[in-house]
Amino acid sequence: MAIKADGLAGVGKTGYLSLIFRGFRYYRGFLSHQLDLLWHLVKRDFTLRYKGSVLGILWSLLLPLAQLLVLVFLFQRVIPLGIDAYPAFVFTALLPWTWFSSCLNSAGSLFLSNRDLIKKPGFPPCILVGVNTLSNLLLFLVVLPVLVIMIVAFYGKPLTPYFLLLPLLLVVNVVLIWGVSLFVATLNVFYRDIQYIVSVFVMLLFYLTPVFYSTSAITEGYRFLYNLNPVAVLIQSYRAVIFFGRAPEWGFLFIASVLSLLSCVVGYVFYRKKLHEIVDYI
Amino acid sequence: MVSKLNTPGQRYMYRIRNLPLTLIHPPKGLAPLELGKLWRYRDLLYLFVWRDIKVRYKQTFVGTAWALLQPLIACLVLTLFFGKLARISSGEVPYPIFAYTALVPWTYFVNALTHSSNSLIFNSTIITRVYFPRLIIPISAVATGLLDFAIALLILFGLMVFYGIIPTPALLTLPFFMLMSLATALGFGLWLAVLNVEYRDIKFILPFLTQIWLFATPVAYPSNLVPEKWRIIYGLNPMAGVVDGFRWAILGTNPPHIPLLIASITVVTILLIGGLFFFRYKEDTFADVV
Repeated sequence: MAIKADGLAGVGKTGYLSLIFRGFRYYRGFLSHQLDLLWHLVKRDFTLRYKGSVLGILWSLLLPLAQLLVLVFLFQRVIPLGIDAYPAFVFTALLPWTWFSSCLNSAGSLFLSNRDLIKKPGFPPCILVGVNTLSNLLLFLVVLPVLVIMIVAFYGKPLTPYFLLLPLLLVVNVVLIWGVSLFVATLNVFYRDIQYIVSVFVMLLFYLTPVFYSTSAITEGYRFLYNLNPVAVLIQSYRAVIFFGRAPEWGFLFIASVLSLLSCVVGYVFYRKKLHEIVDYI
Repeated sequence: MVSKLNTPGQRYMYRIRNLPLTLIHPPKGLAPLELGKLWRYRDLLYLFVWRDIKVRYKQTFVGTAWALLQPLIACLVLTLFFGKLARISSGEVPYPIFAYTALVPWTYFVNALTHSSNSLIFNSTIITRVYFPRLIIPISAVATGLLDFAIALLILFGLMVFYGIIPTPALLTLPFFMLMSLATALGFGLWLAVLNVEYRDIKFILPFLTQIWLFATPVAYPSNLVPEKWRIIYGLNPMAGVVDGFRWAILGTNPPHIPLLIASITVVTILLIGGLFFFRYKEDTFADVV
């Protein structure tokens, strides 16, 4: 019997409907495998991160707090900006910013430091980007209760129903981080200094993002241009939802979501195009 | 005996039994530094440095331009925030060159400190396999940054021409302050590298530490903003002395406060010598713990 190279061999017997169903089942199995892998890798990343340190997981709380202390000292004492409830104001923005910046700063070395995994056939490198995004998100979520307690108990600001919009913001943020990280991680395989360049850009972006200042400092004419930066819009939205307890600016949030999606598509297309070369260059 | 060297195996055993034997004992207690040994291993130091530089600049996008990019962008940020917004006075020199002069030794220091602190962990595979004086590792980490330092320094001279700054005889002291920044990075790097082997907390503290350190060092502001009576305490941060000296050597203004400088030099000396002995004291545990 001749070997049929055609993938649709045998369709005649079972029919197209069954084929579609089989394909769907195969895809579901594939998806659950990937999710399982993702979950295990996130767990590994999360537990290994603080291995060998005395304070362990406590660092995930201490580092943002220490960072907060510096910013509060700098912009309340040295160069006063005159924003009330400043520590809570900064902390609301600092947590998502830390998530974003630590993801991007580690994105570059992601593929290179997991060389052994990537060289395994069948291992999709892009899952590492997801792992990095999610394990940093976990750190954010660990500290989130501290922020909420700080806002509610220390500053007496009530949480409003708008707080429930937080998951939406998190999803947009995950999409953005995943897309940009994937692009950076792929490019860094070919140019090894991309990670350093990205870290400098992240540092510059910090000043273009309203983490330690309020957007009212920006003149009307520049506002639209300023809000084309999706990170700035997201940070403002977090602040609106958690700190001020009001609705985010929907128009800008929509643009930011579209841009995040776009970054995701661009990142993924670029990654798919370079995928077959990654293993050789790594 | 000759009859026993018939097979290749016998010949091999005969040969390795007659090799010169080197016994390596772990140092006990307060070990001598064995700087002579370090000198004998200088080709290894050279190889480590060469390897790091090659890794650093191979297969890169901007290549050596990176050495310029880092201090220049930091300079931009400082100029905007501290020069324009906070209006910190830089005396008679323009703020950009005022900041850049300090950022050259500062950037070197931060990079050298970070690399040397992580150097033992980074080189753990070599440490667990072969013997060599371990001091080579942090020293090479500190030495690698010198290339970037030199490139940044060239740009600094370019900026001096651009801003029309005429060098004074103080420029002759520049090598001393360069050496001092190297000693500071190595002094702290030795301590942190050893501690990092046992306590990985150092890895998390380091980025934060360097950030606070920047504000405790007169990079964004002149050191004469610090009240006179606090200067000696301020000088306990050796980078304060280094940055002040650097500024004086390049710009020729504001000679460094002598008590501050003496405090800095003392701290550097104590840290460096203490660090060397501490490193030697802990050296025998590296291969087991790392």
